[in-house]
Amino acid sequence: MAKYAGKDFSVFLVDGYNLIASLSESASMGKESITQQTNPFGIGSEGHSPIGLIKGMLAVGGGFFDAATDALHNIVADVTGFTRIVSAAMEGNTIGKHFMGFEGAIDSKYEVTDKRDGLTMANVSYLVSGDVNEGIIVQDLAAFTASWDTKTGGAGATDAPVDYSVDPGQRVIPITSNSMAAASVVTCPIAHGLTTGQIILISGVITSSPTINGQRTVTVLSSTTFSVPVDTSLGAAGTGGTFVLCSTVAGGVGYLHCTAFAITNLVYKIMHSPDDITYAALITFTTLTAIGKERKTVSGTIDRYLSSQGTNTGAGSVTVFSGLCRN
Amino acid sequence: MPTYYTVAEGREFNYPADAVSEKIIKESGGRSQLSEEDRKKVKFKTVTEGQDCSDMPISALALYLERGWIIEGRVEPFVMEPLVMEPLVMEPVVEEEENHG
Repeated sequence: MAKYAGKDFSVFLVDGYNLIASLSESASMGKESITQQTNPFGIGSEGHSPIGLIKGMLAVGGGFFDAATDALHNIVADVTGFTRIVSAAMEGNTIGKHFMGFEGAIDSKYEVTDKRDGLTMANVSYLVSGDVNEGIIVQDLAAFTASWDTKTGGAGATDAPVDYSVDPGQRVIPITSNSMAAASVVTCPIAHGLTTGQIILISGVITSSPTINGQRTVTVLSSTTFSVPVDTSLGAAGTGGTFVLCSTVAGGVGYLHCTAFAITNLVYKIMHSPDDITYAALITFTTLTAIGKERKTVSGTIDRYLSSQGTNTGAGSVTVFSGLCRN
Repeated sequence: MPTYYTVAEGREFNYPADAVSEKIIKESGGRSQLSEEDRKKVKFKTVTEGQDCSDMPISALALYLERGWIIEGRVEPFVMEPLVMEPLVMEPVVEEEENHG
């Protein structure tokens, strides 16, 4: 189990401005399912039913009061009528780590506190009327002086594509057995939650001949069974093993923040791939010509590998952060 | 009848430009696993909406075809219509009379 501390909270982007240096005491972010109390009279315990609304929560406690350009005061002191995009990386500014994204008509409460013996501080709390997403950093906050592409970073490179099959946030589903059939039928002890056409990574299955271990596309048969295109009819059935998802089918949301811009323009894309060989453009953000931010939704299948690709025009440097949240 | 494949609307792909590049990448375990030396040997190509992508690696081509991200087309055989010679008919020349008033 990985544990993280304040030193790991390294990115706090509001509308393309990194305010991490303004934070000193606390920052909290989260989401809450809104419910309505539903227990009738005569019942001795409370009952609650979700009403299908998610509420985002975001607060900064004890930030340094700083009225400099691009610092806390100038970015958040206007408290109403703003649609903001916020991204926060709590596990570190590293590709593959988790981040949270917020977008919406965010109203904030902003207060400056003066102390006789101490620095002037500021507290900010946001009321998020919009979306809250959790996802993976595809591009850590970094400066580039030329076009880049993380899928060709090379072996051992830190700027590599993100492999969804090793996401620690994924649930590992156990397998009971797989049958002898032209398309081997896999049985799970719990609901697998798959959709036909989805790609999974199976491992740890024994005795199956040929093996069904590896990346497979599934055809769903029931809530606990599915088939994979492996002909075991003349071989042997298998037992045990687990699988994780390699692709998701319900779309997602991409976030892009540009915190420094000194080139002519930037075309930025998140690419995805089923095999780390052929990549398809997943999200092409609006061409950037200045510091800015964008949140963009995408529907349908998102494959296993995610990479970051920026095409710079003009001499100079550009600093970006990007992440993707799968639905 | 030979088939060809084109990129569907709104799609864009990037893949090894030739069989040699594809082989090197597969043996490395993916593009992100290429050694510095191998990276210099491989070439990639990008295709966008409407462009031919028949040379895409076969596994990805089959997957994207199933998803409708690429479109299959067939090359219709070229059939020459037989030439029919129309008989040449000479129109009689009619001289216009000059009007002398």
